[in-house]
Amino acid sequence: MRREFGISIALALLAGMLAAVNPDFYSAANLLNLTRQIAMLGIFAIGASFVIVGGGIDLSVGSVIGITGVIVAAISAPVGGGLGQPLWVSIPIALGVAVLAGLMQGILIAGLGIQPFIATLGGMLVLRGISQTICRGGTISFGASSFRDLIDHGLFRIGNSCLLPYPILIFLLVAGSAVYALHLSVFGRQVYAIGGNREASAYSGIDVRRIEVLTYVISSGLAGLAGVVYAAYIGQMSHVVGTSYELIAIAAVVLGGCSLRGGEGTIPGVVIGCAVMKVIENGINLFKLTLPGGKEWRLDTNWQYIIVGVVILSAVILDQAVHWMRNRRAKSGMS
Amino acid sequence: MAPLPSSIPSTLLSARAISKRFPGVLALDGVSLELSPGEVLGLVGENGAGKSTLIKILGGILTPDGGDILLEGRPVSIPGAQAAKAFGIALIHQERMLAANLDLAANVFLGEERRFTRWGALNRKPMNAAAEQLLRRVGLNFPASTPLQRLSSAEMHFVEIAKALALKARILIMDEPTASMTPREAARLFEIISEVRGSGVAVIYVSHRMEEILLLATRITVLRDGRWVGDFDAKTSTRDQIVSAMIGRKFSTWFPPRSRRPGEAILEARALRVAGAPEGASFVLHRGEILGFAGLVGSGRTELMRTLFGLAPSLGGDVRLGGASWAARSSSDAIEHGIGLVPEDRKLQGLVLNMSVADNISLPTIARRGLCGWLHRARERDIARQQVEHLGIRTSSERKTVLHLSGGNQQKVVLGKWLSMQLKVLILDEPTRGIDVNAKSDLYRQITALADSGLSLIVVSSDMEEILGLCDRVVVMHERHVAGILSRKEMSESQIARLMTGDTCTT
Repeated sequence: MRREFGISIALALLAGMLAAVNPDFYSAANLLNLTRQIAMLGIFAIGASFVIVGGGIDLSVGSVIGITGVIVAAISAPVGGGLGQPLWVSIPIALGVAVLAGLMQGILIAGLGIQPFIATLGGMLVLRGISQTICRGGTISFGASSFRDLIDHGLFRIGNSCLLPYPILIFLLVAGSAVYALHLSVFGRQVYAIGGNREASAYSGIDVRRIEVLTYVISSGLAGLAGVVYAAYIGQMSHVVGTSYELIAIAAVVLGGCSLRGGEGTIPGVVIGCAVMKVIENGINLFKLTLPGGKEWRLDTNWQYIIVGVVILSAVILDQAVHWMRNRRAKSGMS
Repeated sequence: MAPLPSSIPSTLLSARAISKRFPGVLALDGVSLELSPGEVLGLVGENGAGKSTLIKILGGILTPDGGDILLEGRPVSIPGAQAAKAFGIALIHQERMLAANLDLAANVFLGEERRFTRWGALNRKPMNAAAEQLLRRVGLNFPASTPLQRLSSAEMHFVEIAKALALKARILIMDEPTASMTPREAARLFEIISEVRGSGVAVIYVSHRMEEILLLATRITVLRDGRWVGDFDAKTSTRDQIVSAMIGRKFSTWFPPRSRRPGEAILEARALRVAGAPEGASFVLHRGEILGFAGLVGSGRTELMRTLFGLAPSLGGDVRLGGASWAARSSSDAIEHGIGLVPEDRKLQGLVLNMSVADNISLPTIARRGLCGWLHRARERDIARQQVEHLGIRTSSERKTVLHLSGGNQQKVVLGKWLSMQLKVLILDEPTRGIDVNAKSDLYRQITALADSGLSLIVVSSDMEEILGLCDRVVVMHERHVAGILSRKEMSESQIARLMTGDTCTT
């Protein structure tokens, strides 16, 4: 939990600094919006963390988000290219497609032994292409569909807004189930085992392939769930929605203390990693310094990728240093 | 520890009062070592004695915290592997330092390509010729363009030696070179060592195998717990003297006596065929029996065990478990039927190194449970604590990561994985490879006690002493078939050696 602790402190410092330079940061509207952003990232980053803890990688996450949104739009949008069918038809179909995509990629990886990077790269391209075909390169708008209420409605209504809008509620349910699945259940232990050492897991009687397939199904399934939420949030779907989200998820997961070597990381860590990603994004918009003479200096928002990139690199360099020191200590104990 | 007197003018290398501290442990404490040209120095000690640290310092991989290294009387510092190379010191690791995707010539001259360049481009002809000459010197008659990956593990070791010869090394340091070699390959290695000795090269030879040390070495340096214990003349010292210097107490019996006779048949293989085998293997394992499997590396023993354990497919034949015909479909199926396997490579196959002792021990139990079940961490730790106590695993806590344990203790954890459940048959593949003398004795005691308690054991071993001392009967394999089965009375070193090398006059 050492790394989770470190990243929590980084998050607190970051938030404290932002609150100090710009009071807008802790306005109710910004905090609610920020929490919702973290929650939406959290839903699919948690999914990706199952694959990463199991020693794999899933590059298709962004395309799964895209295709589920596009399917919901194509079936349920009342105007603008949609069929106008009810949501209880479109959402299960979309989620079914997401689960199927995960299942197929998992079988390619675990059954045929195709490298996860390649299998999910293929999946990413194929799914993106299907989305593009459905949209015919254009956009499908939900218009004023009640589907969009998913974003603002929820529990504990206060005036016009809710304390617990559905995206955050969904996220909390996902995070709670993930904590059970990864940390408290037999399945979770087996995921850590195959991520730590596949061979040793097979020699211990673990059905490595089944567990591996399940991690990809979880990743795709949660990406699908996130896709439905994003569709409601954006209000119109085109084939570019979700592009490169898999990389944001991987970044958040790694920031949160998972190792791409597999076998390491926790759900609370991943959630904090997501928060750091979104607070940085939020901070780039809000950061300002009042210069002597009353002039204001703001960050150039074009710097976003540079800052995120530097943060991720710093985090993994730190991780590497910790790993190196631990190995050194272990070696000195044995040889 | 006082450094050795070094008045001999012909000393090639001398290390004086070398110290090395790692966080939390003093790995070397004032260790000294002398090496003359043409000498083979046997360096022995248990795991953790500091052998690896010392040779890594001499090979430039680690820098010492204290002490001096003198090369032909001049003090030198060896800050890196490149520097060691420049001084003519070649360290041949247990971990290969070769590129599997390249051919032999490229590997022999890895990092030395500049010697064969013409106008900046590599000139392969003289390079291949030079490589083949070196390869022949180490007994490899392959064309220089052979891809390295086509060679066996032992042959690759000879490529490493050729690489050292290419550097015109004056000091050759070998770490457990025969670990994966057949007796014939080992014999060739010994020939090469005596040949290079003749040309004035000095060899530091690290091995757990005492017979090799006594055969090859002119002098033996013993380390214990990071300290120099003594230098022994190989001609006049006995094995027991050296072993007791290593372990620090009088060396007693390795193999405890058996108190119980084997009972009825438990596991029976009838013409069981595995991948690559010319014919099926047949043998019977009785209750409470320790059945040895002897043979050379690559004789098909591991593959047969993997098939019994459900990790490799059976191509024909029959297995009977407790009288009923049965074939393992998967490792979980085998475990369900009471078969456990301690694999030959504990780090790659036996343990999840970044997991704790308790989590490793519970893995086979976890594997048998439903995926949605809760983990019972307290119960896991209780079971682990029992095994830690029962097997004498030296660890501060069952929550400690197994990565930090010594080899012998890691092996006990692998054993603990299986002892925490009810088994009928336990297969041990090379159970004592690379672990120290004390831990070996411990394991032999455990194995014997398990057999006496009625568990049936299969012990696959390349260690002749282990086979002779531990097993009730032995199955000898040669080129993937059973060459013979010997009872306790028929077992002898020469008889087993004859069968495993394919001497046609079988029993």
